[in-house]
Amino acid sequence: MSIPGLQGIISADTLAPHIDTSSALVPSGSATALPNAKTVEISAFSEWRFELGSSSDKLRVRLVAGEAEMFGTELSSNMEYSFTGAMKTCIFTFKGCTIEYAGCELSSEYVSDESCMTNYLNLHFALERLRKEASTYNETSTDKRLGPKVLIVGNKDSGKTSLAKILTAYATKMDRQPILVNLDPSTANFSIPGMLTGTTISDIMNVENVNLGETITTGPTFYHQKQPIVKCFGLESFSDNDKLYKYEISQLGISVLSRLRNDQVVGESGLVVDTPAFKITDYELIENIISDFEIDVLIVIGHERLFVDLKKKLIKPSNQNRLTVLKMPKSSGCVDLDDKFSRDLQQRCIREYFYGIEKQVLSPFSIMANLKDLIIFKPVEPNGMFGSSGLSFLSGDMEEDEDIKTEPNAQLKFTEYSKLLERITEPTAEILSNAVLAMVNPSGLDLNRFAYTDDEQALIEDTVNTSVVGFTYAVSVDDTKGKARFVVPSPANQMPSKVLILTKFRYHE
Amino acid sequence: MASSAEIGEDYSKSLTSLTFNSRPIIQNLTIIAQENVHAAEYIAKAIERQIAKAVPSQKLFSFYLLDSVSKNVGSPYNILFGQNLFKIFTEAYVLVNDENRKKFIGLFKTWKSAVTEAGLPLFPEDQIGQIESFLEKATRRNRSAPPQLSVELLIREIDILCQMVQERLNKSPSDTKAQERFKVLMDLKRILTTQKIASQQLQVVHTQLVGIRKDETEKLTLLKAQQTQPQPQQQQPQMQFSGFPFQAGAPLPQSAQNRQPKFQPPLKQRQPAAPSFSTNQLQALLGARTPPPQVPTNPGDVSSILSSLSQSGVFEKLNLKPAPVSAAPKLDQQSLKNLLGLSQMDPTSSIALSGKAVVASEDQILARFDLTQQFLNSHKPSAEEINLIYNIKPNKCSNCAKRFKNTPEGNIKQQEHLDWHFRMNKRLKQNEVKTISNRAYYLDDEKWVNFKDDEILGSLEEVTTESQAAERDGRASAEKRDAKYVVLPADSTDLTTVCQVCKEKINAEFNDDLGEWIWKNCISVKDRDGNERNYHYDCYVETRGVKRERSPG
Ligand SMILES: [Zn+2]
Ligand SMILES: [Zn+2]
Repeated sequence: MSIPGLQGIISADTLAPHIDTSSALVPSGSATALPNAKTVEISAFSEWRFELGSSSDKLRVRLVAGEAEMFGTELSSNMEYSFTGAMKTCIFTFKGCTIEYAGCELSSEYVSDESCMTNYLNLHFALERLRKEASTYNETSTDKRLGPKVLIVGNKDSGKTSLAKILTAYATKMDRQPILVNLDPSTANFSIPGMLTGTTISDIMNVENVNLGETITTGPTFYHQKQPIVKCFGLESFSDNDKLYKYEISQLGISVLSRLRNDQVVGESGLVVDTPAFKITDYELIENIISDFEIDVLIVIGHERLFVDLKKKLIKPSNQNRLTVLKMPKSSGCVDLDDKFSRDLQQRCIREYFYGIEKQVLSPFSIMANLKDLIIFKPVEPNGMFGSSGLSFLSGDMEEDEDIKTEPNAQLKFTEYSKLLERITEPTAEILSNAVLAMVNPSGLDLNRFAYTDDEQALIEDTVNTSVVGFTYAVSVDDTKGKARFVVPSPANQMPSKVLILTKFRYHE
Repeated sequence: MASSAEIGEDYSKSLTSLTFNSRPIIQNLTIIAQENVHAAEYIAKAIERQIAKAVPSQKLFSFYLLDSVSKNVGSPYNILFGQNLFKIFTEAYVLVNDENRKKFIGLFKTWKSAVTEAGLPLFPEDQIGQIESFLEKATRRNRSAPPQLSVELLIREIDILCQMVQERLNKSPSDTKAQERFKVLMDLKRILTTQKIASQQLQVVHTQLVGIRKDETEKLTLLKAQQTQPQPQQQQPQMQFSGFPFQAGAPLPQSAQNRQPKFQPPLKQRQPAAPSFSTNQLQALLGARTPPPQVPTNPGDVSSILSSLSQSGVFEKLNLKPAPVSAAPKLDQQSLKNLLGLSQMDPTSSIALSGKAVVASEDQILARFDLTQQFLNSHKPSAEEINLIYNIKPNKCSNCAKRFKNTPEGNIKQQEHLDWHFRMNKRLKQNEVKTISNRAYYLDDEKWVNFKDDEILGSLEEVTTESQAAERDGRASAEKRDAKYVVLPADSTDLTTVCQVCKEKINAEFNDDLGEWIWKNCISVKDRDGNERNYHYDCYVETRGVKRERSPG
């Protein structure tokens, strides 16, 4: 059979691929009208804010006319979007649009013209100008200039993550490939919660996915997949062990900056760093991040006091020309999220890591392991109720603690690795059941050395210096046999890594 | 379940993606037509409407779709199209340019001999006969007609020149003369696509372009001669250089290997020898009456850009001066028709231009944005600025929300992106029945630092993780193809199968790890009748399952 003009003849065999209009897997060439749909008109520079109340809610949304975007990612009129589970989100338009939705009752929905998007767009173009300048400079110069490295700080639920997404999405629209860094361990970014990640955003993000889009799988996906670098913090709040937090941030900083220097497209695009809610008392931490990521633009969202204080502290004669501190308004659409909401979201991210999303179901693998073959660490919790070193902290470890704070970049002394991780010598069902563990990439570990020397400090050093290869969780633990059944992302004969870090997160199927 | 009318409407929407010659799009649309035979009437109507409303330079692609659907799906599509074939064909034929007319004729020739599965003629003989006699008259009368200069031809020439200048810029990015020339060429293109230009002016532009072409060819030859050592990046500009998606109807390069640098012969030699015919004559032949709309011309713009061309020194070396332009030039029908088609082709430039001859460039717009508190708080983005994240890329992907620039590079990117969708859709479909997907492991620091996202983005078929996984299991990446295997179907009684490309036997072997009989280095693909066909993985990759012997035409 022949299709003239297409280099002769295409055999029937190549016609196997389908675009099936009825398939849930593949979005069809164009979305059909939704049955029993409600319509909402959004005028230019306004946003439609809507809220799904329960985890069983599923909303179908279609862009009928005009142009619309979610956190900087454009919606296609050819696709039907679906949003599942409790969430509060919005659709914005610069030019006006008509949206159609159906599927469930919204617990709240309204159109607001109080959007901060013009400020955010201005910021984007100002950053893009810096990227252009870097590219132009690099064309003629042997030393390479990097694009803007942006740090976003602000209160809880002030829209930091939204702004980070918007800035990266807009940069991607202009064919840039910025790195999105997440330093907020209570949320997940192309990973599970508890992790510090850096991800190159080289293509359109998946607005339907709470996890921002999928990381790489072995199977096909509708969206281009993302490839993050993942460092394990393992706890929920940075204050639970600020030494470990700082340490892993500088580890992440090293890799992220190397990537920027190694890849011209990424380098000229720069990076955007999202953070947990820092206060002015976390000033040193902020200063650490600024130096670890060579931040040149600091954005403070919706917090006048923090902005003024940070400006005062950070703008010194020494770095006057290197750092720009700016404030951005907080969107009135930002709402306080309760703890239950955050926990549900965390559970969902863990589930998606192992089992995928509706449009791409993944099949993890379960594997039986002898617990004595594994080395399991957990983050030290100096302030925690049960952390073993909590006692030493209470019994007057304060002085040493201060030393480290005043010298943020000082190398840890050899013995101090014990303040970061501690070994769980007797992993029992009580500790492991349903626990999520990070598997440390074996490429960074010297287990032979450990077998000969039994040098735990050296192994901890390797472990905190190495990235995560993946996650696992324990489905069942048999204390009498000393065995546990673990779920790992893909088929394997043995655990992908013998060294694991127990996180604070548990997963219940 | 969507109603037939709704399917037709959807189909109509997806047809808008047929703005260039894309095999994946045409294949996908053919499959959708096949799967929705119950809505054939609406789908056929949608295709006919698209042929009618597409700009002339893009009508051919919809015709390829009509052809593909009729030949591959057959009844009832061939019957539906057959009722109006003469009308559909001739109405489009008169509007397209000479090069496309040749392609229309080529297409028509395949219809004369095409038969359905039952061995009946594909289209009704009376319709075919009518078209044949129409074409006979049209081409005979025209043999001696002089070659016509069209805006489209000039734009294509400009695109080629842009590629040449770009290639030069890739090698010496700081060449300001070349940068300037590139910009002027883009400006000229923008004007040609948005303004009405008299034929005398076209002649002037053409003369200038021929001069630039000569100059560029010399410069490039010189540059290449200077570079005795092969450059690592050389592959890429060559690929871009030869992939001319602007050449309407030209076969698209099938793979990177096929993309050989090919210079277009100079304009004169490229003039179509055979069917050139003025639209008016053709319409007279058809008895059509629509008079060409009267468009007021604005001769100032081309002459101003031409004079700025010479002022800016771009033409200095060529010692060419733009010819004086008459005050109220008369438009000839052909160029008018072409202009009408082309001015719709690039919506951004016309929106962005809005009366002005030259728009602010992206750089100029960005230069307005200061990273200061005051500016960020007070500035209200204009439509022109917002367009930088929207309409500057007018071509939207029909599958997702990604946008592409309407430039040669943009078109190549779009093509790669569509190929990616095509591969993914295919794999997603296979995935439903066969393979199991897993979350891939994260890279270690060193691999991540050296990872290039282009591996995910397009040109490469396999992403790193697969080789990563292979490495983790201690296998060399050279053995990657061993990972391609087909598990013998449960009902299979034969341990051997035959590669559909090279016809060699493939013997099954038992794999301990899997506990299954497999054909190694083999992949299985469903044909359109739903039968599984096996190929050597290498054979398949090389040919995409196309049998090597092809019938001509
Ligand atoms: Zn797409
Ligand atoms: Zn073969």
